[in-house]
Amino acid sequence: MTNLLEAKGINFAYPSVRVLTDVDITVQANESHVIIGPNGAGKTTLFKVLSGEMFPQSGTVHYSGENVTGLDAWQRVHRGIGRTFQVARLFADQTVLNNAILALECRERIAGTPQGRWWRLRPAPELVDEAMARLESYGLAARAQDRAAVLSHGDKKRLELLLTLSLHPKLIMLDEPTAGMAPDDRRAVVEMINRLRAEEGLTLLLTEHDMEVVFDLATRLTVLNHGQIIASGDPAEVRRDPMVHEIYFGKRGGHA
Amino acid sequence: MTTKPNIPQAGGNAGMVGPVLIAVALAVFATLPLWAEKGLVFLAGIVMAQIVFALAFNLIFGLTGLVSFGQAAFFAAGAYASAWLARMAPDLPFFLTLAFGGAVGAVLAWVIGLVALRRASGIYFAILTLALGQLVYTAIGKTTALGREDGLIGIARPVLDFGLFRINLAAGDNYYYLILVASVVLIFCLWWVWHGSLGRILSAIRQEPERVRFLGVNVRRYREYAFVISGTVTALAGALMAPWSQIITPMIAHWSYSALPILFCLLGGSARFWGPAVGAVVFAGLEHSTRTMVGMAELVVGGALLVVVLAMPGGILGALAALRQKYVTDRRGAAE
Repeated sequence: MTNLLEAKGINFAYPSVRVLTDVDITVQANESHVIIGPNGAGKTTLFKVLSGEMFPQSGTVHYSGENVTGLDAWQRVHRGIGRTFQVARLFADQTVLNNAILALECRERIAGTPQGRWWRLRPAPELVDEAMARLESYGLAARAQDRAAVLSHGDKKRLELLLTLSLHPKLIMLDEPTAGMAPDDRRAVVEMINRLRAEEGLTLLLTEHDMEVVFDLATRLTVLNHGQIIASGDPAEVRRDPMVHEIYFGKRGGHA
Repeated sequence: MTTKPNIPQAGGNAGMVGPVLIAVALAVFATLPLWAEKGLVFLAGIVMAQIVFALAFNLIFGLTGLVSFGQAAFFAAGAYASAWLARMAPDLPFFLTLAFGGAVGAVLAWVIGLVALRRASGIYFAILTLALGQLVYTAIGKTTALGREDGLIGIARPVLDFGLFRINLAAGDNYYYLILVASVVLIFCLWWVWHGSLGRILSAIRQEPERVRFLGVNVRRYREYAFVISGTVTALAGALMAPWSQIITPMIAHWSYSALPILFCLLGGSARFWGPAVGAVVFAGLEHSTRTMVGMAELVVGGALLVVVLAMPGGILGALAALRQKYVTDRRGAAE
């Protein structure tokens, strides 16, 4: 297995509070790596540092062997990293179809194809067809002409995943992909994520609160507490780790 | 299953209503010198430049979602740069002096954007652009070559030399028609940017910049593009207006002049491409019809604006679109 993403010695602090202390984390190709930890442990901050939204005070991030520490998020996206948010971020005023088309136009712009030229008036017909086909496969085709703002919570998350995957990323970072979902939706997301890994060879890095989901998804588990990693490895082993048990599972009875 | 895309921001004037209204407006502006008195024709020339000014401003305001409070700096830069060059080198072709005005506006927008876009969020950006705009205002007022506080007067309307034939823009209503044609060309360029691929990205940046960033877009660079395009077209509008008014003073760089396009946007509706144009025309109409009410004019205009802005949060076009929506829904309801 090769390391796709490797962060070493990450320190991050806001002016008045230390968030991450000497964090080392590696994500291997095609694994499904879940980060857990109590609220305020620094999961989202770690995500932001890894994706290039924020820059650490010290430490390095390598992606595919390249030092990307100083690269902004959009540049890391060009290299194959995708990301979704805890609360789905969509173009609320636009139709679902236009959301999907926009992502494809961005992909074409990165690739420098004629379909991505900025002076195009209408989206290229083949991109419209592709967007429609993608909506179809995500079960969103019937909502194509609705504004994204009126979608259900689950559909919004699905659409955001569709936008992210439109760029053909190799590594996708999902921040609580099942947060606030009904059990049925939750199972569907778990199924979809497992399928992406198995069939499309994607690598996943996730944060998740729901323990059932965590153990359905994780091929590797990392536990973050007070900005430090206290355990990382095979999910079953991590679960047995007495320290993890005490500060995470023990006190909270298996649910954070 | 229809795969016809619903083009973003295509506007509330679905069907033929929009194009017909635009054709009527164009016909009114084009025939104005034939039936209106001189004062009104002069005003119409100014309004055309202000429409371009406001539409260009709305590219960063309504579309990209940045509240710039220094747009007049670009208008003044274009007007002063072209008028100054025409004075220094009277033999230069007119289109070169125009282009020079646009280029100065582009460079100024690029520099101001470089500084101001470090803080793209709301109030910081507004204050930064306001401060930088006032800097331009002060610089013009203290530059002897630009006439200091008195401005430049007696700006000549040039002669266009096409080799085979010449058009003397100083004669008759020729310069009015030049403004008309140039405005149509500039508005078409702005319309294309607003409705095209670039406009879709800029609109997305307004709604959810972080998502756009994670679609691999350098958000700051795209905001800078919008700023430079807007500044360039605004400067061209200024450069066009200078020979029409034949006098320019530092007041066109003042912050109160930057408030004008904001006013037009709020009045007409900033969410739609044509909103600021409607706002500019309505505002000019209000001012013109109250010009004889000495002392009362500002009160009437101000009161009317207050009513529109309070009663129609989406501006005049927003209110019309809502009415139309209601009409369509009512008819559908009655048919069932």
